[in-house]
Amino acid sequence: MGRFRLVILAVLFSLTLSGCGSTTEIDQRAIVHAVGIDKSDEGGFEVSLQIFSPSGSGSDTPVDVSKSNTKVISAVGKTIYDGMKNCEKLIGGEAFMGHNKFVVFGKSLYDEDMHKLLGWFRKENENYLGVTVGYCEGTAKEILDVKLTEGVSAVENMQLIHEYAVKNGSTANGDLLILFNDLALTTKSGFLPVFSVKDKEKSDEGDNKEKEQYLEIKHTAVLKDGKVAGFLTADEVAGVLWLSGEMDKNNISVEHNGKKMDVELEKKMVIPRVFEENGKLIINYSITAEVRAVEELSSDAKRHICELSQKKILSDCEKAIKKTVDYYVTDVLRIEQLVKFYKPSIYKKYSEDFIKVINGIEYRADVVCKLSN
Amino acid sequence: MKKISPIQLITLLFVTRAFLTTTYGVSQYKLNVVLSLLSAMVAIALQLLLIIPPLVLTTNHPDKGFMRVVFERSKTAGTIVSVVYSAFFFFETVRLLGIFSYFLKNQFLDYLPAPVLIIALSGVGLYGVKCGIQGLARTAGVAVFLFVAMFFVIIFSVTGQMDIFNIQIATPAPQNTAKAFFGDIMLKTAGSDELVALVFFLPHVRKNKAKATFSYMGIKLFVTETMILYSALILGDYATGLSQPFYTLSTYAKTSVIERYDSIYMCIWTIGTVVKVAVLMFLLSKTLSCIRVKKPDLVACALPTLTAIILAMLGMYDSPMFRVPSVVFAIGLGGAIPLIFAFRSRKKEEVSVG
Repeated sequence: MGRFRLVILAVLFSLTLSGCGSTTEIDQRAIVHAVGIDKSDEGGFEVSLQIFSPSGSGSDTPVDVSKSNTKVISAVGKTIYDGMKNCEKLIGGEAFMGHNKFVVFGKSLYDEDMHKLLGWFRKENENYLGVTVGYCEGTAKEILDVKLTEGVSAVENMQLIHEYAVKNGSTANGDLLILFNDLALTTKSGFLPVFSVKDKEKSDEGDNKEKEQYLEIKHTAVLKDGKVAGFLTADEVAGVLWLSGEMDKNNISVEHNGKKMDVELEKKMVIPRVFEENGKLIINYSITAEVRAVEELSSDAKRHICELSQKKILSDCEKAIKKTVDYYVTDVLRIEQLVKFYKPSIYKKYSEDFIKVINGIEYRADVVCKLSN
Repeated sequence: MKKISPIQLITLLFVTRAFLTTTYGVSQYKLNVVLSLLSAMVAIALQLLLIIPPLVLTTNHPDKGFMRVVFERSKTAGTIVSVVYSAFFFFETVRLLGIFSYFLKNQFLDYLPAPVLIIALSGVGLYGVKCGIQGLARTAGVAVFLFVAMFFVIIFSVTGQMDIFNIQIATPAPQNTAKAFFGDIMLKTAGSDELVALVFFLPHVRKNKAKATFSYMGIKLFVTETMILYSALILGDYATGLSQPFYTLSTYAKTSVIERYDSIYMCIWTIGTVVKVAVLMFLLSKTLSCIRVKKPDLVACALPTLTAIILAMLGMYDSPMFRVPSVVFAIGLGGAIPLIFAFRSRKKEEVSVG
């Protein structure tokens, strides 16, 4: 009997511990899918939150997949945190950041230090470290306002667009954790996707024209000292991804016997090495890629395609180094991290003025392409 | 004397340690990851020396509890040692109740007052004391199984995001690297209160006591090094200065089914911590009974609970008493005092021969 009483006691206590007494139902939570931040005219920040809002009125389920199932709440604050709190006042409850997928900064913040802008996100425990950070061409609010109607909510579509672009080597990952580490480098560099809104006219059967909006990622921004230094072209983005080992797949077009050929490249391995030669620091990138021709080809044609693919990758890498290192003087390729790893004594000697070291390094790449079919 | 199996000893020791192990990451002394890994190895090597006295004691005095051995040597010594160990287990219980309720309240249950959390934990602790060492060992087995499963899920889910170049030697070193290295070793040893608990668990182990103890040290080394390494490989510079790096790693881990593992981590960590509270209260009740305290199990639960509640209400979580205690306790209570009583008394042997 005594043991039974103790079991009951333990069960009662475990109920208390699980906190069932005071829970927040899911429909009482403001589930934030995306955060948009712009500079406000009053000198602070305009924070926009895209929150989950089931739009299933009239349908069988609370969620109507033909609608975006979101709404955007905006508020101004002196700081980003202040803006978030003012948004919560408008929502009438606490914003739940655990499901947040994107943090988008507007064009007005290109000249602000990203390291400072992300201060609140660094401390916020609910925020997922793998959230995607990016910029946009206009205002962040505009991006969040786009009514994308595929999937359960608009942010799923945004996620798919971004993931597809990353997978096909056309933009940066924008992972928050990676960005934190990049901003910790001497040059406070970064490499982020830039979202933009595309308007398209859609006519229905009755010749009534309707504007439909799409999201696209046209550019990729490069950061220096935490601010936007410039943008990269598609080839330069591909070069950065190859050199940093972040490339997954890349579709290119090569010319064989006067005819354009589509080729799919898949990264197999990228090994950077840092060594000294004649008193100079050299970084050599060994890139191994698999080449897959979209059409059926002869052996000679395949060999030629392989050589052309090799040249294309090398060319992209050269363009990336020229733009990011020589022109913008940034460390998007995480050269500091490589030198720290391979030559810690050299790094310690020149850590105070590492920019000069980056400029003085010779960059080489050797590419091996293997045919898969 | 109630007996437990060697594996149950390992699980009891693991659960007693797990609370602090999960705070392991790149050293708070700002050592680079290579030195952090080395300091963990040296700390384990030091602890291997500390576990020898309890092993010798239990070999020389089979089937006798540690306190019985001490009381047989001298009643005065027995009383003093009982008071010292009681004070240690009391202090550790208060610390655990306090920081755990503080962490749980701040991370998840901010609407619950800390005293409610402390009372809930103590209630489970009381039941654990009543269950005895066998009940605690069985529960520890379940907690360890869940911890191991969660550990490997997190490790495997983040392995694809490893960046070998995050292993940095050239991180700006602390001013006095040798002092920081030594301090880190001491800190890692200081948090090993399971070595003190080992002194009381060993006599209950059925067989293969030394093998079980050394196996536990091997597992501890593997878990510690893996946590430090993965925190550095995945989190990079972001890991520096984090108080709970493995927890942070769990927030980043994702699979195709689950995006974040921090809630599962917290659930399993809570189970482990609850078992640890019960273990500490059990040990406290055993040492209190040696100084003839009436109803030692109730006193073992009520006294630390009341103390933790008072300290929580006074907002004293930032005070030094809630930090890891000095390494003197782990070395003294885990190694030095058992060493004094490890060898049979020559006088008593001569008398019995005569």
